[in-house]
Amino acid sequence: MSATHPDAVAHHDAHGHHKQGFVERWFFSTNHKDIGTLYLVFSFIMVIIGAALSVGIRAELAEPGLQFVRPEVFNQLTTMHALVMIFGAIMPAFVGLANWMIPLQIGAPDMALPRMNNWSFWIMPFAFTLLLLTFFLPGGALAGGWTLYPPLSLQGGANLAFGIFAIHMMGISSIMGAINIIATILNMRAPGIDLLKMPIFCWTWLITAFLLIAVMPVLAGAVTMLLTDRFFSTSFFNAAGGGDPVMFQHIFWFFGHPEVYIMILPAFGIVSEIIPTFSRKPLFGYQAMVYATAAIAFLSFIVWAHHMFVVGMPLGGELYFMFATMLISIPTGVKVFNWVTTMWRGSLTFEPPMLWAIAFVVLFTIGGFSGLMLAIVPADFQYHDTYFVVAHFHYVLVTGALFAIIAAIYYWWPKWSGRMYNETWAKFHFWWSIVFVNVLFFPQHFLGLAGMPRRIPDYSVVFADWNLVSSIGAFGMFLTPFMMAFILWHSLKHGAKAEARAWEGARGLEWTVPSPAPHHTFERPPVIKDGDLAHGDVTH
Amino acid sequence: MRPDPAADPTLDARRKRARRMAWVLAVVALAVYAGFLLSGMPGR
Repeated sequence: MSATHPDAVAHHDAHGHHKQGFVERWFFSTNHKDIGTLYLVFSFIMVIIGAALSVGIRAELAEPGLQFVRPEVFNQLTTMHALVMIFGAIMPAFVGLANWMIPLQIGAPDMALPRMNNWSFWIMPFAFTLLLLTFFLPGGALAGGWTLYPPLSLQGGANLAFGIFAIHMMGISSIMGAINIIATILNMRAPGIDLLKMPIFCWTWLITAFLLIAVMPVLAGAVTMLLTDRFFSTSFFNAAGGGDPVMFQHIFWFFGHPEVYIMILPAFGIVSEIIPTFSRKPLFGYQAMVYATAAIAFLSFIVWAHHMFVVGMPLGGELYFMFATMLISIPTGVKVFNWVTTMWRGSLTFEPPMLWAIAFVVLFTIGGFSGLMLAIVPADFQYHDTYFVVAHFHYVLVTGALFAIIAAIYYWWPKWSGRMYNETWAKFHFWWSIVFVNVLFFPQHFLGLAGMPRRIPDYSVVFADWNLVSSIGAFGMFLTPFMMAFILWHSLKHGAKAEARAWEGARGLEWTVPSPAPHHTFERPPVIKDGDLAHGDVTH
Repeated sequence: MRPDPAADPTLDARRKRARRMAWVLAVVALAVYAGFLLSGMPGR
């Protein structure tokens, strides 16, 4: 493509850096693209581990009775599945995408703090090794649920200490990553890229990074108190010593609810990049999307107690948290309507990234609606701790966050690798996933409404049929990461060469650099021309 | 030749500003952590 930006490639091959060895390139790298790749590979490994744990869960639940695991092992599977997927798979994948794309989208030569970037990543493998090693401790892995509610979690032994140390390490990594993203976006933008001309992915990540800095220390504080309660005889949450276990729930969810948005705001950004490209129209309501993202982030701080309606709050508190939660549907609705309006009368084509993005819009909205149902206090009294909640958050996190990550990989893969992939296979991967993800999670709504509790290894025979269906869905979904790995491996080996602007309708600075993106880009700030930016022009 | 980032005064100034911002944000994060810990401390 002739659109290659001269500033992006100028002098790329002229400089005299030596050829890096494997260890130097991947262990000591300060290059945002390499570190982005490391994050994405790490996240993929964690997806496989987390999915394997979930297959264990669904195998046990395929029929009533105890088949494969003891109840205490079942609790370890659910707890570790959640921790691995949230902190090991979803969050690092978004950080990997941020590392790859933010400097390319704002015309920066790299992240603002490249050495800290390396450190942020390399904490993660150690944190998760520590966490996963707890399976081999006497008493097994953490088993009190990812929420770590006391007094149950305080019954843990060494696994609690390992787990809390691992959570601290993940938190430090996330905070450093967030600081780097804020410092990069606010200081390293090329001249002409005003904040309100930035790609929406950068905006959603900027807001997410502030959320991370605000709430990860809160989680760290909560688990530090848990640690001292368990091992140093304090009584923050121990009722016998004058502590309050409900206080833990308040502190945890003050972190936990913004955490939900940490895992979905970057997904909003990705979908807001992909839909305009394959609709061949600019994003409808760009500024409204930015303000809606900020509004969601703000509201995420004032709704935490909707996770704990059943602890026995005053009526006024329940009403407040119910209505505040419902308010979130307004900015979220703005986003959904803007995506649909972007597609309206667009020149639509349905390449794989667009298919995943449309699936995101439809299925995430289902997750949003079930969230609204859970926000209704008297209804929540019925649904709380049932499979309805499990169905709800998996629609948000799997068909929401994970689908957006897959969409992003299919969208930016040609830019990263310089190769196109087999679209027929990628579409097969999509349709297979759509069928099995719904077979997996939709019946869980019925199970929850019928009263099946979550976090149990055995259940009444009345729940047997839908549990079997759900387990079949899980086995089908487990194949999908391997399909994707094969499609991408095949693309690397045999894929057609990608053009700089790999997708005809793509706009934005990242599409002005060659594919694959050179190891170093924008070493001199690019001179932005009209038409280079995804939103607005330089001169207006 | 590839430009040396340290020799580019504009880029260098941006990096310095970014480093200052990073320190401020790190202090904010530490303050939130300490604040939550200390607020739970009395009587425990």
